[in-house]
Amino acid sequence: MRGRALMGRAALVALPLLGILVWYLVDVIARPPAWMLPSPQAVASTLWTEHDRLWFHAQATIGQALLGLGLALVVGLAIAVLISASRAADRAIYPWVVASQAVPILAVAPIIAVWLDYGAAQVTVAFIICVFPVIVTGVDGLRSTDPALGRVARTLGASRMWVWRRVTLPAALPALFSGLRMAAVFAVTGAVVAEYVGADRGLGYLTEISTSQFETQVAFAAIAWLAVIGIALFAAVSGLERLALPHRRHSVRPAWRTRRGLASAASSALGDADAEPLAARRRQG
Amino acid sequence: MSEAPRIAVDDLWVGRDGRDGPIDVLAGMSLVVEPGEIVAMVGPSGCGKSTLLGVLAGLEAPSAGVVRLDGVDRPDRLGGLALMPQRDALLPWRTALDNVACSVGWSSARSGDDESRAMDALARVGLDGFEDHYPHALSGGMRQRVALARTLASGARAWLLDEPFGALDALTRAALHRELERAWRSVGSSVLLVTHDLDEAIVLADRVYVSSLRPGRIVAEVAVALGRPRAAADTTRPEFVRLKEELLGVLASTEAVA
Ligand SMILES: Nc1ncnc2c1ncn2[C@@H]1O[C@H](COP(=O)(O)OP(=O)(O)OP(=O)(O)O)[C@@H](O)[C@H]1O
Ligand SMILES: [Mg+2]
Repeated sequence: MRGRALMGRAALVALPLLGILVWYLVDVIARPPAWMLPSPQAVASTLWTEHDRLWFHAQATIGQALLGLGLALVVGLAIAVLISASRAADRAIYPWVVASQAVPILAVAPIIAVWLDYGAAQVTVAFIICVFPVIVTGVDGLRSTDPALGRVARTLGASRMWVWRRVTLPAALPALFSGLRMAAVFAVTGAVVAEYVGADRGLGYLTEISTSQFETQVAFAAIAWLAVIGIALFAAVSGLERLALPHRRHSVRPAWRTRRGLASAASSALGDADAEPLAARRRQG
Repeated sequence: MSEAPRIAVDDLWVGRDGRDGPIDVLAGMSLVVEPGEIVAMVGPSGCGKSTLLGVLAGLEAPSAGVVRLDGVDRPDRLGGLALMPQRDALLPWRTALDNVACSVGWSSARSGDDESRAMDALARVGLDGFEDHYPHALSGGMRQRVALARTLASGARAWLLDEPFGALDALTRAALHRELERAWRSVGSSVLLVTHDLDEAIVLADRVYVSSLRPGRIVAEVAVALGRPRAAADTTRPEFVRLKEELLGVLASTEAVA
């Protein structure tokens, strides 16, 4: 088991290592000029020496991506609820949501940059890219509920609102999280695309400027940052999903899911051995 | 009986889409469940038993017919009769306890009282120790028992049970028969029990209806005049055997018609 896990870990880093090795060999053998292809060492040292500059621009991109993603979540979910709840909205809105994806965002971004201030334009483009997967997976999720679940709850006295909040919405979460994971990665792309066409900061802006100034190693360093940001957002959404859907990974409710469990987890952290939610409840009952 | 029946079904018709246009699944179904009575219903598979329970619970409107609860015509019955469906319909993201508790108190902020009522219901069906398990981690029979506990804890005055013991072994089933009888006695509820098991029908019910397949209607009603509590051992008593033979005879004739 342990050996397998270690092998898995090793395989995970093997691919990027291989990529860097090829990059290194190309650099050593073909000796391209640094403005065309900087060496891995040069990029690594740039990551270190230019850390302040990179971090300044990274903050801008992260902020725009997160804002766009957050807006897309709120607005996309609201639209998904509307579409799944009303036939009229389904007919009137959904086709346009799909059709809007036929318009290439690269073509629209410059116009948005003309209309909006620096910053707002980036958030808007990130939002436009992210909102689509949120709407589509939200609608699918909200429609995927097994109707029997809500029906039984209704016969036992639950209100329509209860069924929506406690049955329909939770049943939509797995699909919605798939959409959110996609959206998390798209958000970074959206912000960067908009930085190309009009911005005074951000990793996309930095990439463009440093390429035109033959500081290619800085552009490479910025791209490395972008990759890390995308992966981190993806991982964060996956982590949230794991917290929100404990029944997918656990047979028994984990201690942190109960209010008393939280208390007992805290007390066990302070040295109290008994942190089992069941036992806690027994003592109460 | 001076009191109005708890459930009175009068000339109920329910249509469904068939291959050659609509077919009548229930065609003139009439029955009553008196207050404090356990009534069993047996009939061939597909004769419309689950459909009837769905209509009674208020999930579906019949194309014709009246359903009275306590003598009142109630077209909107949702929440008045607790349904235990043939499939357990547990919420996968809630633990066994939370699935039961949601029918006790319909709010997120449950009182400790609701929780102990739910715990009691789980203990009744032999599932104490499994309250923190998610449904996917329970066996089919255990899930069925959680669903039964949810129904018993609901506080409704009538329970509609759709093959509640179908997935259980003989011993667990006998134990749950006793628990159902005890819960029924203590709440004073009325029960309409759909089952395929004639022994189960006779052990639990005051009366047994036999329904026919296409058209779905009651073809026989057999009163079970045996004292309570009844035990599994009673199944070999002559009265019991005679009742069972009578039911088997009626069922065989419904099959012949179909
Ligand atoms: N959603 C549906 N659409 C069309 N026909 C249906 C639908 N649900 C049930 N039926 C039909 O209605 C009839 C009665 O179904 P029902 O589930 O009530 O039978 P049942 O008596 O409960 O059978 P069983 O004992 O096998 O559970 C069946 O012939 C079935 O094909
Ligand atoms: Mg059925």
